[in-house]
Amino acid sequence: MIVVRPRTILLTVALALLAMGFLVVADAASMVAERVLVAGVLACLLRPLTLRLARRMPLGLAAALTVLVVLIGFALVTAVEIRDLIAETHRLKVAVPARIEQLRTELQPEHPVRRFIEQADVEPRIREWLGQLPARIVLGTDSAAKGASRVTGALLVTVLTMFTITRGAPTVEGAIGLFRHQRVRRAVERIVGAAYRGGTGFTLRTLALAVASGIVAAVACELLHVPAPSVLGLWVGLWSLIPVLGLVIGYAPVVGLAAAENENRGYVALVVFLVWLVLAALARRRWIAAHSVDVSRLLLTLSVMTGLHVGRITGAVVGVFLAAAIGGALAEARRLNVTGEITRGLDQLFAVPAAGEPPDAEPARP
Amino acid sequence: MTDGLPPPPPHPDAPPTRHVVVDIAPRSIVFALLVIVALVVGYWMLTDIPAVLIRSTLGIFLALALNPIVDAAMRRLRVRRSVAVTLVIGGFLMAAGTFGVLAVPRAVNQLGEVGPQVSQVISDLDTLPLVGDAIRRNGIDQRVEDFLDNLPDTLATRDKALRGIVTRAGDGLVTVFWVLLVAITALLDGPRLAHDLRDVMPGPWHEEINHFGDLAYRVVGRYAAGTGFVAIVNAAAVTTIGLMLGTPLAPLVGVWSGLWNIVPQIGGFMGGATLVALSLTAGLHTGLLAAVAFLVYQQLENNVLQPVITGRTIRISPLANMTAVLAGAASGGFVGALLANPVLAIGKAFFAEYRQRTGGRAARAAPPPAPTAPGGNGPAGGA
Repeated sequence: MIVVRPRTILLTVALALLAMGFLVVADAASMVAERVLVAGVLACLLRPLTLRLARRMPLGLAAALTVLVVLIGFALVTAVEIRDLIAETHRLKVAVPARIEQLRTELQPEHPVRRFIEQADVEPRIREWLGQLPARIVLGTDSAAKGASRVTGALLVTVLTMFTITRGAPTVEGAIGLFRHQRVRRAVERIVGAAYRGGTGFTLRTLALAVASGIVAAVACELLHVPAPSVLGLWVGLWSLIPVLGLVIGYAPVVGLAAAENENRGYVALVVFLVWLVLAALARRRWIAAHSVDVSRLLLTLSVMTGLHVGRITGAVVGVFLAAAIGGALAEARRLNVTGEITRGLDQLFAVPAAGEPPDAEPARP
Repeated sequence: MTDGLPPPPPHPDAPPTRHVVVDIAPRSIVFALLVIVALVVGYWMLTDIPAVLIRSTLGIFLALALNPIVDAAMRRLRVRRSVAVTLVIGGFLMAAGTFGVLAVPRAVNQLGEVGPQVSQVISDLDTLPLVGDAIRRNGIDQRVEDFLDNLPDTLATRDKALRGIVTRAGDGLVTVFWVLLVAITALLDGPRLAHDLRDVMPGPWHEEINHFGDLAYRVVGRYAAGTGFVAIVNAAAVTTIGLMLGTPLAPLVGVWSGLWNIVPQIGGFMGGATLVALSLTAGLHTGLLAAVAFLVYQQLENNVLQPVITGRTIRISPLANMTAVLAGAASGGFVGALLANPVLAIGKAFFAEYRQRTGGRAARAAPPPAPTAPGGNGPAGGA
């Protein structure tokens, strides 16, 4: 007969409850977790600048100043984009209904497409949709309530970012300090450090390349008299975050619109695009990968596309950071593994200490 | 689990009692929480972002199907992987583009003829043997005609229908882009990422990881390549049947059928049903001929092509196959149905490997057979 002691039953039930509680909390707090993740990534990206400023002022003030600079920059870009977007939307509001009306009158009265255009009120609906376009692009929604909620969320992320910049590093160090095994602690420290350095370096350089791609596209549009240069610049910059095909898709409307204005301008835009494609590929290899971490394009694609799907532009940036952080951590783990450090650490972590033996003792070797 | 406390004084007739104390170390709790986190993330991906999962899985599946061609290009042309991938994907896109240029304008022209043809077929329904009277009595033909006449109005007056069409078209484009991007990057960097992940594991595990990784890749890779090849044959066959019988939109129906053919079990029916439905618009006889021709091809595919191409890699009984696909579809939708067979095949291959190893160990551990008398049937006296 086997008797299970009450302490064991209590422990097992407590573990099951803990797991269930964790699941419930994780489900309920998924939105908060997303914001904490975004704030953490932003804090990592802004920390180098903050630390540089902190040499001349207190860390808290430096963090506030950094966030303020970023917010001002963001507000400036948004203001310019909104101005261009509204101007172009007004142009589209006139041009698109005129084109639809032209199509309608060219078709026979009984033609299904003409009936569809007339009965579905296609023209007023498209005009209304175009009117909502700036709000949709800037806030991600045309509903005022949802827009206000998103602005509140952005404020929350800003506050969390400032907090993480100042208190994030000690918190992570404290968490790593919980590992009692010295070897494991050293390995975790090195892996986390590599993830931070790799993620930050790669993302900042990738963002810089995206800004450069956007500026090149905007300048090309301006010189070739393509409409809405700043909007197209932003479009190209955002697409350049996606590896391999991002720049191709991003520049396609630039080349197409330039060709629509004038065939020769189309060729010029195509040449600009091809030259920039080569330069960007060189920059990725010689500047980004060589000075931060060589991230697998598959990992980057999966991460960025998932981020884009879940959290739009912010999600894409978080995706870039996470892919680079995983790449950096993997590279460091491989380096540690060459010397057998990880194997010994895992042995130490998972070996059950004998009675009376200290928990961080070396496991017995055969 | 330790056997700890001193036993109480036993009753003379009572069975011996064992007291068991289970101590759960903190590291076990951390490990359990990590497993739970992984499960939560997996569940979240399956329920909240199935589109991400479907598109990524399809991309990796396409990469596995194209990988043998990339490897062959690297060997034959003696070029780097990136060049081989560019050539293969470029060829794939050029083939798709050529098909689009040749088939789409013709399909658009044929679309205009489908409407009158449908009306003709509907009026012919009354003359069908056995069911013709019932169709006439219940006015089914008239109802179908009314529905088709009102379709533009229905689409126009229902916001959701209009939005649905636009959203689906946009989603389709995004899906194509996503799948292609994942396939290209998986072809370029997949092997490197797999090596990197292996190198993170402790050194003594590397040989085993290589072995089981190769086993899994052989099963899934050959399944994907075989499925892709059969899908192309299916598309060609359906297009040929359609062109021979004068089915409207024949090339597009061929592509549709080939794409559906990737889905196990129901895929063949979906392709065939579309072919027959569109052939019916050219006349009842054409529809019936298309049905017969498709059934003949389906028999050929099921009994000759599939066993020859994928049968060597995935030897699973039809019942197990069907059960796996249904279970996969119920738990993971399209991706579940698509991956059910290869996952089952991987499980079977791993189990066979395990049995082979344990069998080998048992044979080594067994005492050597006793020598038998000369002329006996034992090993010592055998041939």
